[in-house]
Amino acid sequence: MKTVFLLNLKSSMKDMYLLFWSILMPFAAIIALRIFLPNYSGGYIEGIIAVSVFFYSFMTTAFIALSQRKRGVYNLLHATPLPLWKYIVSVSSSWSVIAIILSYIVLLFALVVNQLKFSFTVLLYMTPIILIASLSFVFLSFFISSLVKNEGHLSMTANVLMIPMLLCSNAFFTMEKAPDFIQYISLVNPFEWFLNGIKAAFLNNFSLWGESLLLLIGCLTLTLIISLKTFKYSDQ
Amino acid sequence: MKRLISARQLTKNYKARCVVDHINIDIQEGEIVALIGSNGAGKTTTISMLLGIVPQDSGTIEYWTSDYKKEIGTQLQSTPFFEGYSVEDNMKLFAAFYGMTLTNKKIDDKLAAFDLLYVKKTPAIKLSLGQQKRLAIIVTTLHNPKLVILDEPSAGLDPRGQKEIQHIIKRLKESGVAVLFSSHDMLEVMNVADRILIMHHGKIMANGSPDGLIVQYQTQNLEDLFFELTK
Repeated sequence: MKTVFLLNLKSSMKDMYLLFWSILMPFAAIIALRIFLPNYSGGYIEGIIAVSVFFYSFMTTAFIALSQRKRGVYNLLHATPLPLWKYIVSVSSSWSVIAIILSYIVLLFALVVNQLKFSFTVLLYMTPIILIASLSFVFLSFFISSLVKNEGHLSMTANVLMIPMLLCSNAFFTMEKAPDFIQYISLVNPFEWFLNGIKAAFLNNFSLWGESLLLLIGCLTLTLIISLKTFKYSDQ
Repeated sequence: MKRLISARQLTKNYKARCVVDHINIDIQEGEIVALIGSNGAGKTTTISMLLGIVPQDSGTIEYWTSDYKKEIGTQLQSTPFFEGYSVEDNMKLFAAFYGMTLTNKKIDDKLAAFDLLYVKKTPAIKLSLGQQKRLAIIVTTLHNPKLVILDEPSAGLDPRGQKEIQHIIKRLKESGVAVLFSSHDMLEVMNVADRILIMHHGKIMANGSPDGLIVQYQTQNLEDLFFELTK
């Protein structure tokens, strides 16, 4: 498992999707907010970090998983004695480590651009939230990539899932003025739990942090089971 | 000789189409068995069932060991490698799938033996087809299997590449490894195989040594025999 983890970590670090979705996009957002909304830019950091981790953990890994399946490597993996859960957990863990590093980079950039103060307790509480959420989103990405036949389908299917998750959260708009049914959706939205967890880390709100962590652990268990049960070795 | 695989009445249907139809296959220790047949004859499906990748609809497969996946090396027709991984990293990854850790020396030795040392750091998917086929066989034998199953190992290769694959298969036999390979190339089969299985429309039409079958069916050569049995 360690070798699979380390090799996947090494290979994923060189991925161009990673650079675009998870570093350049958040950097551009931070700079744009600083220029156009200088009074509010500091308040968007949690949202930008959450979206960055979500896009990387879900979108990027879904494309990688689909690409590997279409190349036939999962079929070959099937012929080896490695249990599927070990493979999925190993590669997902390496992607989650990258997501954590990315969140640190985005956070550091936002702090520098907005000249904000920083406390290490934020990192201490933010890290497990990102780890669990990122793993859940990676497991979900395996599920989504198993449902589709090609990149076009994947893009559409991922958007169908991602856009409601993003819009039914406090990442971009406050949910206070949203219709009731949107507010109910946000209550069962894993992305909202993730966002709340990060916000709680910034605010030192331990009850909200603990609640978010527990909900995300439940989500992690469920998505792992779904990804294992639906994993598709080949298109045949 | 010990029997490594014994498949009985193996059958596979895809929807209403019977792809493999009640076939029996035995593979003995140390022998080279060629599975030959036209496109769509059922060779790849048969191999996939023997590897445990595709479940059979009926029939049984008995292996000489309970943990057969640890003891079988596999090369699939598409010779897939992990995207974004170098030749070296693909070797390390596949070795890890078998619970092994490769030393740099072992990697270098293996690559040198197959004339691939100079592409060690190259992404595996950027290799030429011939190089990919050779790398696939390296990956197949990393864990010192008792049996190697190769699905069309020489397909798409030039004559030199085909010759190299034949040489590699013979080397495997010399080191005591049994080989099951599928092929369209009668000359290759004649040069390499101890025993052949001719498949047509999901059925085994003939099973025996190349020379023995030519005598039995009174044909000039293996190609004539193949056309005779698959017309």
